[in-house]
Amino acid sequence: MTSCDTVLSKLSSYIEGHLNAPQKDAIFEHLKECHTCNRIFSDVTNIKSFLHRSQKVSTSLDFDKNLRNRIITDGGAGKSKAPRSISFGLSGVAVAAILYFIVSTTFITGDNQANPGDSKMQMSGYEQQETPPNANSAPAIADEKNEGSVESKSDTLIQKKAFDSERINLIDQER
Amino acid sequence: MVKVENEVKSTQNETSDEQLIARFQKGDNYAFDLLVKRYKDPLMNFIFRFLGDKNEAEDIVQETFLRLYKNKHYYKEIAKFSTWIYTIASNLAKTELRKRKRRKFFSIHQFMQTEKDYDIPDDSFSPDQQANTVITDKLIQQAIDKLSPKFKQVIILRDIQEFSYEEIAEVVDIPLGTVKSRVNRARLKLQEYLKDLEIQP
Repeated sequence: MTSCDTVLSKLSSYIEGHLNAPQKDAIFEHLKECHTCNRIFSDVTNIKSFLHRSQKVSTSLDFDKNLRNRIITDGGAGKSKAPRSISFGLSGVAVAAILYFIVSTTFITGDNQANPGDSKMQMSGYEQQETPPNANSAPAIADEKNEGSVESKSDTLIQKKAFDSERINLIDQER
Repeated sequence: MVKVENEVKSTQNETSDEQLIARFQKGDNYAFDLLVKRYKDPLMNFIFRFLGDKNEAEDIVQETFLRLYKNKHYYKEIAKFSTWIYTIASNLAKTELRKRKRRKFFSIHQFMQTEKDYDIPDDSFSPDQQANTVITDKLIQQAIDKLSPKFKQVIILRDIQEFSYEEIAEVVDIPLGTVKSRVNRARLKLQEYLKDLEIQP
């Protein structure tokens, strides 16, 4: 015998006559035997019929007038395009900001490489303002270890310049 | 829905919805008026059953026509106009339900912060309280309100608006088999909510 779950899963198809003959017969036999499923079948059929003849709701008498007013005040045909142009505007600003960032970063890095003296001056200004603990600790240790050695001093200076140029970009970004 | 369309078509010299929207797209505003006349009541009935509130439903129907007016060129003839307009209305109604849920959540949240020991009265439909009552339009609406939006949408379209399963699949944008099983489950849920009531055949 067909199970209750199977019958309930095909109940709508059975009511609407969408099943083939063997499926229809199997459900018909089940409904004759199973009181619970038969009750559900009867209820669903009645609910479906009730929904079909349920009270229809209409719009108010002012509907057309209100709609006309909304069309006049709220939306011309082109108004829906406004948000799109705003979004294009915003994305344009974002693209411009990214381009500005890339261009400024490239030029500043180029300037630093071309004029190491300038970057050194900027670095010294930075050191007076703020000294990050991790940033200067490595070169300072190197200075102590290699004190007296001219060659080592120049190595340290190169390292420091490289470090300086990295920091300068960040300072300019912060400004 | 077929019945409604046929009735309206006979009074409008058999002009199809697709012909009307094509005329409207070319600038004929009278065609828009005819579409409003044709669809305002069926859409009102659909949205009212979905939201359970007449004022909100009318607002959504107006918004639907406003969208149609502003976005007429988005309609392409590959879809039936009726399914297109019902899709717009459905989406607006679902958005309204989500907003309502959010409003309810925030009002309860605000309420709980101030009055912690107060019981919130549950005025939702309870079959036990309504036992042996003859089913009425109001009770069936309360039962529909208890359904989740996905079940509510398909049962209204199928049993009240009389859409075919294929049309529902197009409006809801789900496969035909899913529509059929969803309609069946929605009917069983309604039966569960209304089983203690006397349903007159």
